[in-house]
Amino acid sequence: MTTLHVNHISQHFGKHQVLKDVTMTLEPQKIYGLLGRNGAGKSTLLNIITNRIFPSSGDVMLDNTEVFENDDCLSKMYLMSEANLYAERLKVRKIFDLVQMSYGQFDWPLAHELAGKFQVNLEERFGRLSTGYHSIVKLIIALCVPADYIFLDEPVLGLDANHRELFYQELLAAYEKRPRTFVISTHLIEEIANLVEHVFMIDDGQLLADEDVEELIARSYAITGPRPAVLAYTEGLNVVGEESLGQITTNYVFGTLDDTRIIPDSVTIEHLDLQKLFVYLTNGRHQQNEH
Amino acid sequence: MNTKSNRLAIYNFKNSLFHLGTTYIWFFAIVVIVPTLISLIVSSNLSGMTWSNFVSELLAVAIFYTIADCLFFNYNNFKLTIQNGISRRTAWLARVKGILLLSLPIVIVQGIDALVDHGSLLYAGLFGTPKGAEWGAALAFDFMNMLSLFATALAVGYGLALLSKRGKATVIIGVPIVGLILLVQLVKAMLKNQEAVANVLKAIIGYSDKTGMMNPLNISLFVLVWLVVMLLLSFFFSSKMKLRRD
Repeated sequence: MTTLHVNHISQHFGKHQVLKDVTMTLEPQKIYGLLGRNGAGKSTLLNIITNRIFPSSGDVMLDNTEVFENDDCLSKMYLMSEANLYAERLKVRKIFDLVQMSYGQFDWPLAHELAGKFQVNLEERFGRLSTGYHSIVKLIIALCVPADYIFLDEPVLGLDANHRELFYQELLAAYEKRPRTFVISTHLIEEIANLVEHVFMIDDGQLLADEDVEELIARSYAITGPRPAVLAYTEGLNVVGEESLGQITTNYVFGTLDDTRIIPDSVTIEHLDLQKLFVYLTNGRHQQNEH
Repeated sequence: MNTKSNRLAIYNFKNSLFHLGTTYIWFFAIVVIVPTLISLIVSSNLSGMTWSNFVSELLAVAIFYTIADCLFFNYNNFKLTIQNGISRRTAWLARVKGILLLSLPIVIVQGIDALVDHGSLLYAGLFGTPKGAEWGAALAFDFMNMLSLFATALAVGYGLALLSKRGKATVIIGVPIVGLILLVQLVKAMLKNQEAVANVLKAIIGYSDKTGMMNPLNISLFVLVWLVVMLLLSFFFSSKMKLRRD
């Protein structure tokens, strides 16, 4: 079992710094979520991990071996990205053949099964498929390739709700059959919230959170009630967002609550869901930056 | 790495053969079928196309196709390989092996054509028609020249593949202009130092003033060094390949 270490990765494109000293560890057989707003640096990070582009500084190691230009390490990874790197003239079946030739193996029975479920014609040329079917073909490869680290960058781009649901089911089934590490980068947080065990949140090129989902949710609260009571209770806490509707105010708090404070009867405390937490954490930082 | 690069080299070779086949279909349509039909309609005969011409033209198409392959398909090749967990080093090695595989039949056909139908060999043009055991050396000489030509195209192609669309357009427009200016300056400089330039060229081709003959060894060494330099250059450029944002 290998562990993937991303060590102090920074990336500049000209004067624009896309990633700032990102360090993270990906353990085997775990499903991760990689969350970030548009332009946060998620795709750049995945491209660096899989050796598609070079970082300005830092390195990526698979246990003690550097991934850079290492065929053994690279063959343990597969990145399904928004970019279509397969030749448009190739038939889907030929693309699968090519993947098998490169990775040494390919789960053909599963590929046929998934092609049937998603209604993909293996004899169709890749270039003739719609955006959604481009994603589906790449997803089938991602689930059938014998790699230990599968990175899915916007995996459900262009997929309708039925196909998205089917994909999540198949992802879990493939994981159960052969556990491996999946990293899912998506904006549809609600849809993956129940799939992922651990999340990395990236904002403005920096790692904002690196935590198990359960722990993260356990430390996030929505405190609702009359405005004065809510303000009094949340004073001094890490309030990351606020919403008001008439006299009722909700303050979103990230961090530990003060156990010594008495919760007023008029105030209710609930945990946030992952999407709301993400929105308030990243919004909060942007508002702070603007001020 | 070798197994992977061998598998990939065979894939590249098959891919190139497919493209070459497509090129031949176009070639037949444009250069053979259409003129033949016109010739039949106008003069009702099929003169003009000889077997020797035909083989030479087929070889020329194969050589031009391989040069184009080396020049223009490097970025596509990179995209495909990096998507499939193959390092730049392995992809480059497979590309070189693939081109080597493609060059072999070209030089073999060229040799057979030269033997059977007195087709042209570069060696024969420079050093006279080979006799007996010289055939092996002549074929090796032509093969090395062909490889150095393809290696040069590969180095240029990998260099171009590093550029964005805008950068490529700038180079494609700018280089001929700058090249022309440099060429004019070079010619001027050569005219001023005719003797020195002539001596350098004679040394490269191994020309002897006494015998009026060229020494194949000199030019072979020069071509070999050129081949190695171009391969190293193409390797260097290939190691800098990255996914472009354009």
